[in-house]
Parts: sequence; C-alpha cells; structure tokens
Amino acid sequence: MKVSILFIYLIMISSMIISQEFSISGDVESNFFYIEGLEDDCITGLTGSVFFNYYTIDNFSIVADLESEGSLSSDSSTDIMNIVVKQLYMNFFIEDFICYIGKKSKRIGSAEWFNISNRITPTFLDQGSRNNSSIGMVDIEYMFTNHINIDLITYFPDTKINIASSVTMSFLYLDLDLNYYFEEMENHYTAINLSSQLDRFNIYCEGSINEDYDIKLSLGTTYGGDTINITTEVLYGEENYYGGFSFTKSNLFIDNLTFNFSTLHSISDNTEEFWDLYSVDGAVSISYMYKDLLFTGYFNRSFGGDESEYILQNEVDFTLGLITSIYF
Amino acid sequence: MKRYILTILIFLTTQLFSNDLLQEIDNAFFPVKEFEFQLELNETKNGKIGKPVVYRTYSYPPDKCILIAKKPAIMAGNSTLRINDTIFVYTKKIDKMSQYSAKVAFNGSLFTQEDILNSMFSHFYSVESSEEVEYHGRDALKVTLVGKNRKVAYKTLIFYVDPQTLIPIAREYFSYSGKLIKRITIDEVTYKDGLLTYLKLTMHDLIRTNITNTAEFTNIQYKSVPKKYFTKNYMKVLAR
Repeated sequence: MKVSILFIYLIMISSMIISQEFSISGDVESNFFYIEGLEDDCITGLTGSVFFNYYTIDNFSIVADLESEGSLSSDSSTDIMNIVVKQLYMNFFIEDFICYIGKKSKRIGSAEWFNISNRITPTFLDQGSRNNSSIGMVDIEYMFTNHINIDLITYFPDTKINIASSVTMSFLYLDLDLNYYFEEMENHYTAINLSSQLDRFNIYCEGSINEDYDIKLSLGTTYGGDTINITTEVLYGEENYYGGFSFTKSNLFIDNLTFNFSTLHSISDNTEEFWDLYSVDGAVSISYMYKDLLFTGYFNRSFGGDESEYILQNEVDFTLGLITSIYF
Repeated sequence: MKRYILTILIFLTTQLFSNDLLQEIDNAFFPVKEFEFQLELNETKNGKIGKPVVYRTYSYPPDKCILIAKKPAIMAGNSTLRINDTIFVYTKKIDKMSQYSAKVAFNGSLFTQEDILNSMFSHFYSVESSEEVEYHGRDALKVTLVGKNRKVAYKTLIFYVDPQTLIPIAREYFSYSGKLIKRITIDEVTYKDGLLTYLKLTMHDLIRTNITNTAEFTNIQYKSVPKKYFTKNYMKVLAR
C-alpha cells in the first residue's frame, strides 16, 4: 500500500516537471558630482542596480529591477543606501493573451524626449540620457491577429485608478498605435503614434488631444549609422515649442571610445510646463570600455525655472551576469 | 525590332538561369525548411577573444527569422525579428520595440542585421554575373550579386562557391560607395543527410584589420516552428 502511494506520488511529481531559468545582471557605479552653487558642492555617491529575471520555459516569468543609491561622504546624513524598486512584475501567457501584473515600465510611442502619447510611464531625461518611469499596473494584451494587438491597462498613480486602452497595428514598414486614456475616471485623452523605417532613418510622430482640445504634437527622426546615431525631435504645443538634438559617435578616434552630446531647447518663452521631464539643456559624455569596465565622464548643464546648475560626474561601471537553469 | 526583342529575351533567360543558380547556392548551403538553432557570436580584437553572445534562433525561410539573446545575462531576452525587409528589435528591460535598417551593425559587431538574419540571398539579391576562377589555389565559382533594392545592406556581394557542391568558400562585401569592406570565410561546415548540422564562419574587417567576428551555428534542429513566432506581437512572449 505504502509503495503504491509512493509510486502515485512520484508520478504526480514527475508530471509536474517544469524547466526554469534564472538570469541576473547588474552594475555598480561610483559617482562624483560637482554642482555649482551648493554649500557642499562636491558629492560622492555609489549606485548599483540588479535586474533579475526568472522564467519557466512554458509561460510564466517574474522580473525584478532594483536600484540602490547612497552617499560615500563620511559626514553625509544620507549615507544609508536606499533601495528603489524600479520594476517588479510577473507575467504569464495563455493562448493569445499576455498578462503583466506589478510595477513596470510601459513603452508607448517612439519619441526619445517628448513622449506625449505615453500617459502611463513616459520617458524622461536623467542627466542627459533617457530614462523610463514605472508604475503599478495590470496590463492585458491580446494578439488579435499577427498584425494587430489590443491592449487594456489599468494603472494606479497616487492610489487613483486610471484606465488606458490601445490598438497597435503593424503593416510592412509602418507602425500605428491608437491610444485612449481615461484618467481618474473622468479625464479623457486620445493619442496616436506613427513610425516608419526608411533605410537608416526612423521617422516618427506622436500626437495627443484632451477633452479641452489641447493638442500636442512631437515629430522626430533618428539616423542609425554603424558608429553614429543622430536624433532630432521637436515638440509643438499650444504655448510651448521645444527642440531636441542628440549626437552619439562610437569608435571615436580609437575603439571603445564613445562621445555623446545631447541638448534640449525651449523655442518659446514659456519654460514652466514639462520642466520636470525636460530639464537638461546640454549634456556631454565620453565613455571608454575596457574589458568589463565602463568609464564614463559627464558634463551637464541643466536648469529649472531661474536656477541653473552644472554637474560634473565621473562614473565607473562594471556589469555582472549569471544564467542558471534548474529543473524540478 | 527583332534584334531588340531577341536581346530582351536573351537578357531575361540569362537572369532566370542566374537566379536559379543563386537559389541552388542557397539551398545547398542552408536548409529551405524551418529550423531552430543556437547561434554564438565571438569578437576577437588584437588577438584577444571577447565574451560570447548566445542566441536561440528560429528560422522560417525564405524571409523570416527571430533571435532571442540568452547570454550574457545583461542581454537575456532582447530579441530581433526579421519579416521580409522589416527588422524589429525588442529590448526587454525597458519594454521598447524599435524598427532597424538591415544595414545597421548587429549589436555593435562586424555583422550587419542582414548578415545575421538572412539565410536566403535569392530573396534579397540577384545574380549579375558568374564565372569560374581560381580562389586561394582551388577552383571556385565566382558569383557577383546586386541588391534587388536599396534596403539591402550591401550594394554588391561576391560569392566564391565550390563548383561541384555549390557550398560557399568565402564571400566579399562591397559598400554602396563600391569599396570592399568585409570578407567572410567559411571555417567549418558539416552536413548529415544533406542537411546542415554545424557551421562556423569568420567575418574579417578589411578596414580595421585587427578585428574579426566569428559566428557558430550549433544544436541545429529541423522541426516545425509556429508561424506566429515571426510576428512583432509574439516577440514579447519569446523574449525570455
């Protein structure tokens, strides 16, 4: 009898064999900031990030994207390392449905800076380079056909409930997204994205309109060469016009040396709106890769309102990686 | 008038036979049916070998292919899909989908997107000329190809293939300015029952001569691959 039970138990266990994999990657950076105008104008910091990805071969995965930051100064009051959860979500697939639950970045549209069609987690500038915000959401994607995707997202900024839906279409060289946002269950926004690849140029357009017929439009193009990347983008709003330009050259004079310059300018006088997102007006960075080490030097000039600040930053990154498969 | 018609007929017949030749070269080298394999890319700079990048790859000839990065961990899940002339790249960490040109370097390597994602040249190039030549002391068939449109990565390609088996010995790549920029040599290739089982090739940069990239095709399995794998929507499912 005991042998039979054990046998049945073993069969049950063996029928639940699931192959699984982990991947962990991360980096550690030491930073030195010089910010003009501060009483203690030199700040040293240490930041690190870990991207953890667990998945079963079949249909389930968990992603955790964590970041920590702190000061290295001995007399600093902020020398305790803070851990920030940038993303933490699980996703699973059933037939033609993909479901994401948790805090994550949702990428909508192609714009580098003026990501106006994305009302959920728009991209923003962080010391000259683009970054993504994240938010708690339940996102269900349905693959309607090979070319059409339907997306329903419920997201929760400041404990309020927002709902968004989008239809993504892809035909030959043209990608088209139609997005509708119902924010705090009362405000409506409609947004559209169009993008197309023409040879080495990616041309894109984002537009949004709210219930007061406030129209915003951003237009951009990216040129992708073997060692050169150039992006230009403009934002047109009712009262403000912005222009952005970015130039990146890798293998500058020698292999592994990369130069980046990006700038954003307000073309109109009104600089109040969008300032939190588009505050850097000039950033230069040079990075050099040696084996697994990436040395980067930044110089940023940014200003918000009447203030302006210069940031000089050095950074040394190294990455770590691990992939492990386990079988139950 | 008759002379013109005759010239056109001769031209069309030559084109037809030439393109049959390219299709034969494609079929002799790479499988014409769908298959799955592991691709490992290595870079050698100044004699030092870098860390390999490993991809799980699904191919659906003639024009569909998807690569999912497995190693190193920092790239795991990033995917590249080719559907005919259109190339999509999905970056898992930031949930970003972008379109790329076939001419752009594949993850900063010497290979272009097209070199990695194209196994059927007859779909994107046509034969301009072919002749028997001697290549590095052995008989070879030299086949010159030109792009069917300007979306392809190279203006001209020259194939050197074995005249008997039609298996490539080397390929030379010319930029749109007409300059010879890269050369691929086939280091090792094995077949079983007429089907490719292993391939190793090396891309030589003829401008920066201190850099070479190798691509190794291993664990090749001939099995049915669902057609939905080759859609932009399903990339997110595979990107793990």
